[in-house]
Amino acid sequence: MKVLLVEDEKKISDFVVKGLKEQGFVVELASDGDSGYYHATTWSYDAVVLDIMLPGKDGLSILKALRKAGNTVPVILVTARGELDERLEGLNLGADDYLTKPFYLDELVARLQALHRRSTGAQLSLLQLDDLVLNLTTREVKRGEEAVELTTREFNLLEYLIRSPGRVLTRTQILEHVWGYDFDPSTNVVDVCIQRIRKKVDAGQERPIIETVRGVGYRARKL
Amino acid sequence: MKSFRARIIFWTLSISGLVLFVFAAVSSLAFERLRRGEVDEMLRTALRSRVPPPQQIRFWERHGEASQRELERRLGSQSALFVYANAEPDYAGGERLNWGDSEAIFGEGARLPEVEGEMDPDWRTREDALRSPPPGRPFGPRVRGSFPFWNRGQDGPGPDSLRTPEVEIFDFESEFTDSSWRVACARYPGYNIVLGVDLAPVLKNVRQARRSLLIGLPIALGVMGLGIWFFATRAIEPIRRLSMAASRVSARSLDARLDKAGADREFAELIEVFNSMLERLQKSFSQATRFSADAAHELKTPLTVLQGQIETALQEAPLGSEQQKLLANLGEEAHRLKSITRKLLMLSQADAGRLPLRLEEVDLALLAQEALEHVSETASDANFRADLESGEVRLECDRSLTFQILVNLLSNAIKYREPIASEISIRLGIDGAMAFFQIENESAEVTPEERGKLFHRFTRGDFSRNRRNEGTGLGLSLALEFARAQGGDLQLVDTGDACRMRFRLTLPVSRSR
Repeated sequence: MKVLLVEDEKKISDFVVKGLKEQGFVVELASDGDSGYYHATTWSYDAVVLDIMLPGKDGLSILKALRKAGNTVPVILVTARGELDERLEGLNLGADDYLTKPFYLDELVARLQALHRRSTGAQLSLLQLDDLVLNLTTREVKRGEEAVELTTREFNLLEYLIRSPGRVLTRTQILEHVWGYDFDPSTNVVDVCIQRIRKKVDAGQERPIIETVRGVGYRARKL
Repeated sequence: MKSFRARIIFWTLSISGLVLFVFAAVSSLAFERLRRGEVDEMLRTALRSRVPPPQQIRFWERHGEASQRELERRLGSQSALFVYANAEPDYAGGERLNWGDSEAIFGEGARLPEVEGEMDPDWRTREDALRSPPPGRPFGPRVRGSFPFWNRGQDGPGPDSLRTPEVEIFDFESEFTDSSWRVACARYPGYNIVLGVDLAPVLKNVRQARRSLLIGLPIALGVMGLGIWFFATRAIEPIRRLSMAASRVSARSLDARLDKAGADREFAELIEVFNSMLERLQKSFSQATRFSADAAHELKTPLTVLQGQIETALQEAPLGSEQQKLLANLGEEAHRLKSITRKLLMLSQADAGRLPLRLEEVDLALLAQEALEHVSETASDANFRADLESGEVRLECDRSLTFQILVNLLSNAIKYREPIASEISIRLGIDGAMAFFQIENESAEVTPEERGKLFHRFTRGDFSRNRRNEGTGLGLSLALEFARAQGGDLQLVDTGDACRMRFRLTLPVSRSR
């Protein structure tokens, strides 16, 4: 998957490029608005990650110009502002998703994957790890032949884990992804929820899906 | 509270009332004096003439009564004229020594000035001269309204007897007729002429004037009071408008300016001063809010870097190593920093009145239920007593902001409840135009001082001995701003018990005015 990153802050682009490459993306970087626009109109990408505040042409006007020219490349807007107006404006202009700084790389990866799935026709609505299958459309979970009943939160957490097997997710990350920003990271909701999922998914299994990384967080076992 | 207007009216009325009263008193006295002076002057004028002695009976018959009538016509009162001498002169015909009727007024034996000197014997021979009087006023053709006696004696030198006589004027109370008189006595050598007028009509006149002043005074005061009231009200009006306008100015509408069009100069100055004060206030306020907004924005970039690099490093660290644990902790702190930044940004937006609102109809009970489920995940042991029947309290509000307020209140109640098993009670309903949500829990003792500080930014409940509580200390102040942004309020209600906390959130049922 080929991604164009338009971001002027070098330190941010450094780790984003590095992180995305690790996740198997092909990344090209443009560090100002004009070169970003030039790249986006000259070559074709599977997705564009577009910062709004840029030197030169700003993100929103790049987006506007792209859409005006009939370019339908999926765009994820990234901004330091969380303001609703700007978010709505961005979505109205034809952005496909919106990410507020500071963001976790995982979050960006998840959004990019979701965009990719959408653009390639959603045939990937099944998520599988070993014999665990998550149906993202019907939200049904099966372990082997056995159906598992999960609550919404449990489903979301499990999905988050098995999207990137082998990758450690900290409690804070999970909390933010599954519960939202404002949860106090000192609570133990994540652990409680993990325990419940384990009871339903891993109990009595030879190869447990969820692994605890002591003092850090959890991860889905990599096959 | 003292009213400035009432004081203006009171003092102006008192002062002007006093002035009016003094004026009325002085002027009525002056009027009396004037009238009396007029009477005196008339008497004096009437007597300051070359008047022949009483023997000239024909003169007296001709002019005496005419003079009297003229005087009576002028003053509208009764008069008396008579002449007396110290001795009966040997006069042809031996007729009356005294002419006129003194007894009618003065009665018998009234004390009148003594007669001095001797009569001019030449009068007898001058009778002819009197018959054809000299040209001029005294005895010439009668001018209407003038005294027949009128003669200032300016007709050149003559004998002593023809000099202007000495006139003595005095008051006389007549017991005989029970009236008061003003009497003038002209002293000629050998005889006195007395002319008196009854003062009754004059005094009556004076009394009338005084009475009309007494009646007029309260009326004038009343009219003046109305006038002062009117002007005082008008004078106060710009101040009232000013204070009303000022009360509309709040932190959210600092851009409001007062209109000085049509204001008087003094108030225009005041308004100008007020407006420039607002301007400075707005400037510093917007600087402050912009500062925190900018700061929050500026923090985001380094935070993104920090968080991203921690995340990357964490993935690269050996699984379960100390290093990885450390990075997880750092990640948690970065998250906390992020949360504070976000809240600061929202607070600065709320301060600037730019918190975006998305109003929709919300069932408060359902929303509370949702919030309750949300927080219950972190505290399954909390003992809630809530009667949340849906459909009863519907209101128009921002769903997400209200949800955050409710979550904040609920999680505070959970955090600070003490003992752990104590009940947290929730009540909601509608009170007039406002919907309310009330939550009450038992806590450790909270002093009134701590209560006062609860809504301050970065204040955390130190009164809790519960070590697991961590937060930014912005939750309550943010909840308060969220409530205010929606036209509502959030209050800590005094329960009279330092160990019971009761928060009451009120939100308008309908935002449409």
